Amino acid sequence: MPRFHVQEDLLIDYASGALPAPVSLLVASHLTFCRRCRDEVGEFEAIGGMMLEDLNPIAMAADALEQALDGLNDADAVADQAATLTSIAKRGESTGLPAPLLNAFGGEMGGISWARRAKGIEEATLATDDVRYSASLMRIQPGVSIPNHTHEGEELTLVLGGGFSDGGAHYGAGDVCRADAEISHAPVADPGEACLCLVVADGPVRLTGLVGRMLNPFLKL
Amino acid sequence: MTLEEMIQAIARDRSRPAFVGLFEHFAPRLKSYVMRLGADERAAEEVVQETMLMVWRKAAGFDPRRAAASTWIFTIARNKRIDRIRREARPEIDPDDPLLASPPPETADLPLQRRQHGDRLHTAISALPEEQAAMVRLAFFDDMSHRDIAREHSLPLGTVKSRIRLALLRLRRDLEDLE
Repeated sequence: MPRFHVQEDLLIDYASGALPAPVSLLVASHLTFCRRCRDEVGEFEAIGGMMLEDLNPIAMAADALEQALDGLNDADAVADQAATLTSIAKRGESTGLPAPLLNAFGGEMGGISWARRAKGIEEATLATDDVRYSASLMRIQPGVSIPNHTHEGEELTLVLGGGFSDGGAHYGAGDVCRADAEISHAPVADPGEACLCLVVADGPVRLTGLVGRMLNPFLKL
Repeated sequence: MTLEEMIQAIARDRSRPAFVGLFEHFAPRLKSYVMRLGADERAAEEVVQETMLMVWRKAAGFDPRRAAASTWIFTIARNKRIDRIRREARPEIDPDDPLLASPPPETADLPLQRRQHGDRLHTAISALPEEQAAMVRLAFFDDMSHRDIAREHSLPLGTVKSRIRLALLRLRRDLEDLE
């Protein structure tokens, strides 16, 4: 059970459907780990459902029902999409990636292409249409420290495997660490096991330490 | 038959009368929902059709102990709408495409409005202070994140957060009282 959760405003925006895709992906992945947040999202969705009931209906086109009924025959013939989702979730068990994330990377861990960013730090960027947020997987070797850096916007990190320490707190699988422009931080991966994270950021990352500044041109985070 | 039982009848018997019942109840509300979020009539009808098709296909996955029919269908429509926006947001779509410009279909007269749970929630929402109710409507029906709402209304993000939060906590309490 995670100890560090997604903040409530993000859960509400996730439930209403207002989150940009990369953030939504991080929230969905956290929910895979976190029963508490899942229940909370369920309650907000129930409010969405009741608000749907409360909306003034707008009549459908005259032939809409007929069209829908015609579509049911075809639907029965097509393979169920739910079955596809289940199979991705099952593969997720063996890769350790939550299904939404594995799905975003095309359904196969082997299909993820890693780029070396610094010694012991690899990154796999997720292609997204979103203009503001970037999303990438980071794989950090045991004991390696991410160079000290600040953010222009905010950065959300979800731990998928292993763990890291940052600012006196320890983050393990399912935990979410939220950093904003105020914070300069240098997370350190746990010894023993590589740390796998999903990082979603809404502004360029700036490295602040001396070594960090030297790395800046290479570290296209 | 309740709305929940209709979904279960689809799962169990592939019941078409149950589907018709759900369609008549939800389709006009879903259309209203999608149009409030900025879709034109034609696009809204398509999202509704896709949503109702998913209701038919995924009925077996519906668990009435976990969610009301309205909650379950809301989440399907929300996702279908998002899928559609992300497709349409791609730059290769040509705004001059004649398909996009085709006129909206003819509409029938408004059916009698059915208000079952709606009335109770309506009461709960209208009991909210207006500033809170407005924020909740913006959050759910105007496709605005907390951040967008803050910018649009020139309010600090913290104020938007706390208003929405207070309103939702209050609605959540009211929903619990109903159960």
